[in-house]
Amino acid sequence: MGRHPVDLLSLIAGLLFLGVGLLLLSGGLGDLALEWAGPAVAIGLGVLIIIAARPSAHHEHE
Amino acid sequence: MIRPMTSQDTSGHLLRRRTDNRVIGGVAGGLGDYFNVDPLLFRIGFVGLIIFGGAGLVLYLIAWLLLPAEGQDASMVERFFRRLGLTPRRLGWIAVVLVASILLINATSSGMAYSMGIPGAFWAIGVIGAGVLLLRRREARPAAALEAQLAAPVRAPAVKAAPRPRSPLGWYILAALFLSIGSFALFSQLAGVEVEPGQFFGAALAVIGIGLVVGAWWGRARILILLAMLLLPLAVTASFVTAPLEGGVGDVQFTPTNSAELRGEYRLIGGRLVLDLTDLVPSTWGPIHIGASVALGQLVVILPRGASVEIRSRVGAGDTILFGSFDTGTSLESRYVRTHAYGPTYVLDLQSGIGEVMVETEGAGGF
Repeated sequence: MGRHPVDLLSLIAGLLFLGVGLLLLSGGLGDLALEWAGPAVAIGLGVLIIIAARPSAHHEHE
Repeated sequence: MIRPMTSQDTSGHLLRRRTDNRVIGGVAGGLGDYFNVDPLLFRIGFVGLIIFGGAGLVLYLIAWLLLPAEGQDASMVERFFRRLGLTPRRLGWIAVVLVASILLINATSSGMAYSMGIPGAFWAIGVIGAGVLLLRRREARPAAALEAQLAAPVRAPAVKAAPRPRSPLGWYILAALFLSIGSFALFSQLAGVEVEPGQFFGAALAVIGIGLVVGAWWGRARILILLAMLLLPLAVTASFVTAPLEGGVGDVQFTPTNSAELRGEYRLIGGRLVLDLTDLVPSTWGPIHIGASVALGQLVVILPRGASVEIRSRVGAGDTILFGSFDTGTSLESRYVRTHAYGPTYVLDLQSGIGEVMVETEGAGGF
């Protein structure tokens, strides 16, 4: 399992899920209003899709 | 991006998951290669289906499990069954027996209309599985392959990069996920600490997140993004379920008429719980303490006219309606006190995880 160039998709997704996971683990989501949490998750997923669909993501293994 | 044809594409045009030039599991890329269209179309389709109902995730996972990777002749499911010694012929017989049993049970219990209506997911998965098997069967037909080989023009063999070795990181993360969840549950049992369902999901998402961050530099585990996206809505939903998971599922109504029939606690996991106290003849004029909760669903309490009440109501996400006063949102906590000169005081501790808490006086209607 060698080192490879940074994989942005995994990095961003990992940080996003780690953040949400820690928030849930601390029981803090209940205090977080849905009107803020919903857009935050939508924006996060949008960024993920852009990273996944960018041309360099397809070429990086070529 | 449509990938240029390679030698493998010409030799029978096989439906395979990509092992390179993929974004997550190579399913959309493989479908794009097979149908000779831009894989982005399939990716948009999967994402669209994920957003509108979540079916895209299920379809993607099924396809990922059923489609062999490039350079392989068997899918993960096939290899798993082969290891168990289950040949396609035996599996076919098992499937036939299972389908026949399900049809028989449904037909004898609730009629054929029930059997055609309820297990929609079963039919869908069956159709998808049959479709993939048919495609694979067509590929495997030796005569067709030979014909294709003879008909194909002679081309110079294309140089194809060796497939990247599989990374064990995904399996390590999956193992870490189960180990951490198991340890977390064990610790909560031993220490007597109450852990809510949302916190277990949170721990799972955190482990996957750490694994993906590691995978950004060492190994690859992008397929776990799918698993995390599947867990995410469940985790968010579960985080609001703070009411006890006790009492079964369904629509239940309690109408106690005397103190002996009255219980201190009424619990339901999912559904509608109605506690009608209008016919209750209490044996004491002291306070009557009642706790009631519905983890997922509606809790309705009907009080006699002129009753004194002290209400504490908590709702994770949903509505609270106390004598017509409406509140909606997340983490709702309400208190209500009403005192009359005579009769006992009903001290109510009401809870709903996701759903509604409603308290009404008899004859007020509205539920």
